[in-house]
Amino acid sequence: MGSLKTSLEYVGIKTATLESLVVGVNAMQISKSDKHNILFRYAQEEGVKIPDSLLSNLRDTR
Amino acid sequence: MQINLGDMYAVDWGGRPQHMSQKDLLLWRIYEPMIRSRYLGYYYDVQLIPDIILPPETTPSMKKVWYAASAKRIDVLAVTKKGFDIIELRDLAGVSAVSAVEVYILLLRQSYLTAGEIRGIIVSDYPDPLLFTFAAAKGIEVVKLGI
Repeated sequence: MGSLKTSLEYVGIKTATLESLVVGVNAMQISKSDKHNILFRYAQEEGVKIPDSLLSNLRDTR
Repeated sequence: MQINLGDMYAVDWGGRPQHMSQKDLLLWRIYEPMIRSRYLGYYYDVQLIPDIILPPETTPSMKKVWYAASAKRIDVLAVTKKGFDIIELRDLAGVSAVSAVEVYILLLRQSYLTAGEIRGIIVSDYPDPLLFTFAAAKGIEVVKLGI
């Protein structure tokens, strides 16, 4: 199975930086907890830590 | 009505489902982590074969082809504690996606899996703007993954 990073790029989310990743995920019309779940999985797969300061920007846009 | 469920996969399986298109797979990879905690497992490419009366002279091999061609296929059938969620993955989702999910629900209710709740979810990165209103009127959820 392909990576979550590839999938996110397919739907137009720029993953070059964690900032652009969070901005892109935040723009999707899904709930805040769903955004957290995606970013949690991304961090696990890519071995990165997404700072709380970025996560605090997430909003419910469903 | 016949149903070919195939094997149930654990939610943490992580492999590539057979027969899933590349576009559907990309959507599934984003959507699945969001919903994993809701489900007990997944069936992929579930075939629903409506009852069709074929002429008696139809050969067994032709019958097989006919049934395969007329089967409706559910991308993902997710198992909940209460029943099933039908998950339709479409990159460009028009309003016809609602009808497709309604047919799946109808056929699933005709199968032996009649007990429990059956819900429909359409996952798309480019849904028709009308889809949200139309699907909501039919009790079907739409998830937009693209930006």
